Amino acid sequence: MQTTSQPVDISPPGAKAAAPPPLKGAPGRASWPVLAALILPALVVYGLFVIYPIVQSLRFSVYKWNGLGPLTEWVGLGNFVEALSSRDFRAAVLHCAIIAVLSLTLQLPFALALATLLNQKLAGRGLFRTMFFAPYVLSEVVTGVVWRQLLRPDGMADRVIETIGPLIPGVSEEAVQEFIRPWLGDPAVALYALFFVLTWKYFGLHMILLLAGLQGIPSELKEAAAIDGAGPWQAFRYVTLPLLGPTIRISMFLMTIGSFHVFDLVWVTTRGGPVGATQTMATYLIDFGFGRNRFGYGGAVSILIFAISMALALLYQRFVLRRDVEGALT
Amino acid sequence: MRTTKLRRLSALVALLALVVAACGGGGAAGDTSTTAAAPSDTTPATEAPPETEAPPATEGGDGGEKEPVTIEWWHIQNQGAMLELWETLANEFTEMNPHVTFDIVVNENEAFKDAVEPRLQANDPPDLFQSWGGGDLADQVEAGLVRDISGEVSGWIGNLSAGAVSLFEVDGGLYAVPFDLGMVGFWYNKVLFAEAGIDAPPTTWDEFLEDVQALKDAGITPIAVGGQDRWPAHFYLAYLILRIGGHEAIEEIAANRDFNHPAVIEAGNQLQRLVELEPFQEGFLASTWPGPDGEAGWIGTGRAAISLMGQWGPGEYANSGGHGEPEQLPSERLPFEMGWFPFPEVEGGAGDLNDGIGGGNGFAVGRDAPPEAIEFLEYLTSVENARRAGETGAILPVTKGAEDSVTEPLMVPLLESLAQSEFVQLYLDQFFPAAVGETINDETVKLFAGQSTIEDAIQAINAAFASS
Repeated sequence: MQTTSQPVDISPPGAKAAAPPPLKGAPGRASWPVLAALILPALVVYGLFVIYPIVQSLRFSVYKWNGLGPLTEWVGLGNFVEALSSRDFRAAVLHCAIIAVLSLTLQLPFALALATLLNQKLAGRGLFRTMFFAPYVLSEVVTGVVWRQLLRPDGMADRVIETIGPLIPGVSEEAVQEFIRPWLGDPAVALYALFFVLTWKYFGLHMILLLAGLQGIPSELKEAAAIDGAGPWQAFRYVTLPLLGPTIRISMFLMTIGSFHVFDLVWVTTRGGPVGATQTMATYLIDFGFGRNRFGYGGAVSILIFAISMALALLYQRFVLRRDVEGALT
Repeated sequence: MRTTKLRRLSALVALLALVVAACGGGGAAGDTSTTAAAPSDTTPATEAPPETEAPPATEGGDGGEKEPVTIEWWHIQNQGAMLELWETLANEFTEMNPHVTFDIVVNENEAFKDAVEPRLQANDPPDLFQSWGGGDLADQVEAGLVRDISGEVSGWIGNLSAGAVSLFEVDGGLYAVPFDLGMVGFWYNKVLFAEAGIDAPPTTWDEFLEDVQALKDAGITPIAVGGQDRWPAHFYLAYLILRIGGHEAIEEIAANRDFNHPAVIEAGNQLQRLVELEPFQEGFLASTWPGPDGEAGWIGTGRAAISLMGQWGPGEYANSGGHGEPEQLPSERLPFEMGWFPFPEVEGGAGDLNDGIGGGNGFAVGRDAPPEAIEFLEYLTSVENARRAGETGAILPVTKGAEDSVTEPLMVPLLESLAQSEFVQLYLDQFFPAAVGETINDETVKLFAGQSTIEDAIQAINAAFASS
C-alpha cells in the first residue's frame, strides 16, 4: 500500500547545488528504458502471481467444475447466488465481522493500555516488551497447536481456572466448575475462545506499533499540557490520543483486514468447527470449494472474499486513513 | 522491519501457492484441447492409449531387449510393515523384470489427497495411485484420467473377491484393483464393559442403548467419536439407514438422488435416542479421529468404551494411546482386551445384521500407465503376496485363499461377519460425490450436537445433490 507519488530522483545528493548535467528527458527523471528495466521484473511477477490467478478465479467462478477435465458447464452467476444465499457462508462472514468488532473494542484498548504502561519508566520494561511481543513471532500453526493442547478438556486452561477461580471473592467452586466447558468443542463459546487466542497472538504487534507511535510524541507537548493544568487523564485524552491517531488508525486497519483473513489458526485448532461455529471466510473457501471438489464454486467464493476485503480496504482508506496517507487510492 | 519482510515472504509463498493451483487448473483446461483429438479420451475401453502402441509385444517375456519403463506409484501405506512390504514387492518385480523401475511416492492419507489433486488437474495422473472408488473415482473416469482395465486383467481378476472388485467398477468398466477390504463395526473395551456389568455385546439397537446407559451409570464415557473430522460420526447415520431400510433403501436414495426416504427419517429418530443419552466424550465436537485427544486416543487410553470404526481402528488406538511398536500386532500393543461386534439390528428394520458399511483400498490405473503396471498389480495381489500383506495385520487382503493369513485375533469376528455379508455399502461420504458426502458428514455432526433435526439434514443433503 505504499505509494510514492514523488518523481524518482536518481541524481546524487549535492548535484542540485551544482549545475545539473544535461540529461535526456526531464531533469531528475530516469529515462524510459531504465524505468522499464527496473519495473519489468516486478510487473512480470505481479502479473503472473496476482493478476493471472485472479483472472483465472473469475473464469472458474462462472462454471460448475470439479477440478478435472475442461470447463464445460456454464452456470453464469449461479455460484455467486448460491454463496450469498448459503447460511454457512453468511455465518462465516458474520464470524469474521464478530472477530473484527471484538478486536477493535477489546484487543485495541488492551494493546493501547499496555503500550502506555510500557512507555513509562518501569523496572524490567525491556523484558516486558519482549515478552508481550514474543507470541507474535510464533507461527500461527505453532500457536494453534499449543493452544489446542491448552484448551482441551481438563487441559491447562481448565486447571488454571479451577485454581484461580475460587480465589475471587464471591465465586464458589461450583460456579467455577459450571463455567468450565470444552472451549473449542462447545459451539456457543468456540469462536470467543479463538478470539482469545488471536488476541494472545496479535496484541503484542499492536502494542509495539502503538509504543512506537507514543515515542514519536514529543514530551514537550505533555509538559506544556501539565503546565496548563491538565491532569494525567486529560493529557492522555487531549494530547496523546489525538497525536497517536495515525498509529491507531493503522492498527485498526490491520486488525480489520486480519480478521477477515483469519485462516491458519482456525484450521489448526477447530477446522471451522464445532458444527461450523468458527468457520471464517477463508476456511469456508477451503472446506466448501477445495474440500468438496467444487472449484467453480470455490472461485466464486474467493471472488466474493476479494470483493469484501477490497471494499473494506477502500472504504477505510476513503474515510479513515485519508488524512494519514498521502496519495491514497480514493 | 524484520516482520514486514516475513510478511512479504509469507505473502509471496501464499501467492505462489495460489498460482500453482491456478496453473494446474489452467493446464488441465489447456491440455484437454490436445487430448480431445484422441478418440480414446472418451471411450477408454476400446482404444489402447498411445504409449502402449510403442512396445507391441508385452507377452512372451523372453523376447530379448525391452524398452526401459518407469512405473510411478503413489500409495498411502506410509508407516510400519506395509511401507516395507510395498517397497519389497517393487524390488522383487524389478528383479524379475529388469527393464522396469519404480518411482514410489508415499504420503499420509490426507496429504495424499492434497498432493494428487494437482496432478489430476494437470491431466497427468500417476501410473498407479491409491483409490477408494466411489464418487471421486467416477469423477476421474468422467475426466478420462483413469483407464478401463477390465480387458487387461480379465485373466486373473477372478482371483479377487468380487465384492471388493465391484467397488472400483464405474458404468461396467474397471478402473482400479483392490488389495484391501474391510467393514466398519463397534470396537469395544472388554474391561470397561465388565466394569459396567455388561456380559455380552448387544445385538439390537435397544440393547445397545441400554448398554450405553449402563456404562454411563458406571461413570464411564460410553462412546468416543471424532466430531471434528465428522466422517466417524457419519458411520452411525449410515448404519442406521442400512439396518432400518436395508440396502434397498440406499439404492433408492442413490438412484433418485433424494435423501427424503422413510428409512432416513427413522434413522434420524433412532440417532436422536442415542444423542439424548449424551454418551460422547467431553468436547467430542473438537475431537479428531487420531491423536491423544481424538477418538482413537480416548479408546487407546481406556477413557471411553466404544468406537464405531473400520478395520484400521485397533492399530490407531494403539498409536494414539502410545502403546508398543508399530511392527507389533495391535492386540499385542494394547494394554487391555478389546472386542468387536457388528452394528446391532434395529427392531423391525429390513437390514441384515451382517450387511455392512465398509470400503476398500485399491490402486487406480492412470490413463497412460504402461502394461507393466498392470502386471505389477497382478503380482501384488497374487495369493502369496496378499498373504504377506495379511500377515502384517494392517490389511484385510481380498485375494481368494489369502483370507486366513490375517493372524490378528481382533480381526477374526470382523472377518467372519464380512464373510457372511451379502452386501457391503461403501462409506456414504465416499460413495456419493464429494459435495454430497461432505454435507452428509456436516449434517450428521449437527445431529450429534443436537443443533438440527433430520428434516433439516435431509433438506441440506438434497440441496447438495442439486448442486453437484
